[in-house]
Amino acid sequence: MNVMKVLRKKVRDNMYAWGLLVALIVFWEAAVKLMDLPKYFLPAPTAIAQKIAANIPLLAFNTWVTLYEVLLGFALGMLIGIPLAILIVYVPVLEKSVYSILVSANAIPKVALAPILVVWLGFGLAPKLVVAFLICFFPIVVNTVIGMKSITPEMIKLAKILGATSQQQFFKFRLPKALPSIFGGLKIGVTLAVVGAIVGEYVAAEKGLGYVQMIFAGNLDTAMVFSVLVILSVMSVVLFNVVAFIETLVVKGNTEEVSECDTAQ
Amino acid sequence: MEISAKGLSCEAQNVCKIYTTKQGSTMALSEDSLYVQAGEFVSIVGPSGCGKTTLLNIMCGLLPASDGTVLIDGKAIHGPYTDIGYVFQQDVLLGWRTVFENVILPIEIKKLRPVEEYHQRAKDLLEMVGLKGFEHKYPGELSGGMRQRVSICRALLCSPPLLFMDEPFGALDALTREQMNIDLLDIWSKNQNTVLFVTHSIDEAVILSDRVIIMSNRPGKIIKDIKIDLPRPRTLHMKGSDRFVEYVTEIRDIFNEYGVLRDEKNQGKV
Ligand SMILES: Nc1ncnc2c1ncn2[C@@H]1O[C@H](COP(=O)(O)OP(=O)(O)OP(=O)(O)O)[C@@H](O)[C@H]1O
Ligand SMILES: [Mg+2]
Repeated sequence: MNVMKVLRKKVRDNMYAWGLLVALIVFWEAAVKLMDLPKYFLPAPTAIAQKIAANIPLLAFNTWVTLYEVLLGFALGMLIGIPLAILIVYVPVLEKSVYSILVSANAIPKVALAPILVVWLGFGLAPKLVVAFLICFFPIVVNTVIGMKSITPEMIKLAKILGATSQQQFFKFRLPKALPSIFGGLKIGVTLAVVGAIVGEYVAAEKGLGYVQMIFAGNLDTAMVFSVLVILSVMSVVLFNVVAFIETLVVKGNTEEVSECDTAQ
Repeated sequence: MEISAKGLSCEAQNVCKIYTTKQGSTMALSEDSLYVQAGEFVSIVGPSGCGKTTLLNIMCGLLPASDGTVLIDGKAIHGPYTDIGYVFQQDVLLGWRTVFENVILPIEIKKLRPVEEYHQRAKDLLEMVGLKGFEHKYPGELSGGMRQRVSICRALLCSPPLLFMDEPFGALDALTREQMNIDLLDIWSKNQNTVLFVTHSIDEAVILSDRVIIMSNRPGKIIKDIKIDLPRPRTLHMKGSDRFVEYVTEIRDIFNEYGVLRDEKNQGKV
């Protein structure tokens, strides 16, 4: 019953957005037909849909390749980023050294590293994985550090007067307080990982959705390029929502501050 | 479950506190001494910012004193004394835990058994403060006064021998506040614990306490220690009695004398 309620609310909240989207697609279709635009310039939505339907095996295979790179890069970003952030919060020297450098290094456009990574790591999985990792690593670290530091002096006093061990302080106070912020970082990170993997494929690859796009763009098969774009968008949205769904399972209550910020902005 | 070890004595000897920040240092307490007997109910009143919270934090070891010693049950303490219930000035509830989960936090941290009895006690306490039915709500869904009551339940859960309360009823309406006063006295007389109670309300201090400690403006200095000789058990009716009114007037006059309160004569000048 609760699930139905949530779903119905979701549909109701997003009704206007969906309506607008459908309207835009209809307009796009009509515009292409009426203006008789060449297919290599702008394919109609129906043409894109047909293209996808006709190339399912090819697209499925390459989707899997890209998804694999994204997931590995993202997993690496989490496995290295979160523990590193925790270390940074607990070891002041690391905050002054590693964290300051990290924050400045965040200004480097990570995608511009892709050509160098290809030189170093070759044409295989490695450079894509590393770009995906690098690009999602920063928001994960920064948000985890912010979350871990968001514990208030009053909460620390409460922990101390209850006699909490440092382990309990971590698991019962710091970590749960940090979770909303950590998930904020993960949601940004997972969509950025998609960007990273594709850029890696643009630079040098023999498979993957980025590679497919480059090949078909060269052949002026614009419908195919759009098909890949659609798939990539769906991939990003789905990954984001998976993380958001896990967040709703893990993060309890605690929404008061978050929603206050939302409405204030 | 041990209901109530009896109260413990608690003493501050010549404590000073100087806060040092980038902007400079603040003298929050200067040379204060306070002895609270085992089982005594002592209130501290004083103007905002005079160091009441600081004194409480020092007397339970949460904050190191810049100088002086703190003794609990006659023994000097050098870190947080954990066998205590402390109601903080802000409610400090954990937003990711339900009301009930917040109340049972102490037994989870201290690994106390048997769990079922403490759970029952948590439910009883919540019912006493009028929060029956809110056990499974999150703090974000409660009003300020409700949150403060939850934090009171948390402090009372283990029937601690020492109970520190820092303006616990500040967020409550007058009626709920009086009811909570009665309930607190009831718990105190059953548990016979030692209570150190900070309040802004002179009435509340007098009706609850054995002694009222008066502090002056910063740097916080204990300027008077008044014994309240009203009979126990106290009732709200006593607020109409001559003795009660005399005590309240006496405390007002002291604040007046030290320039904390200004009466009509001075108001015109502002
Ligand atoms: N962490 C801190 N760092 C620096 N100064 C502090 C700190 N905490 C308190 N102070 C200063 O110490 C003085 C006493 O503060 P304290 O919180 O003990 O006052 P209080 O009597 O509890 O006031 P209130 O009734 O408003 O709660 C204040 O002037 C305040 O500016
Ligand atoms: Mg205070």
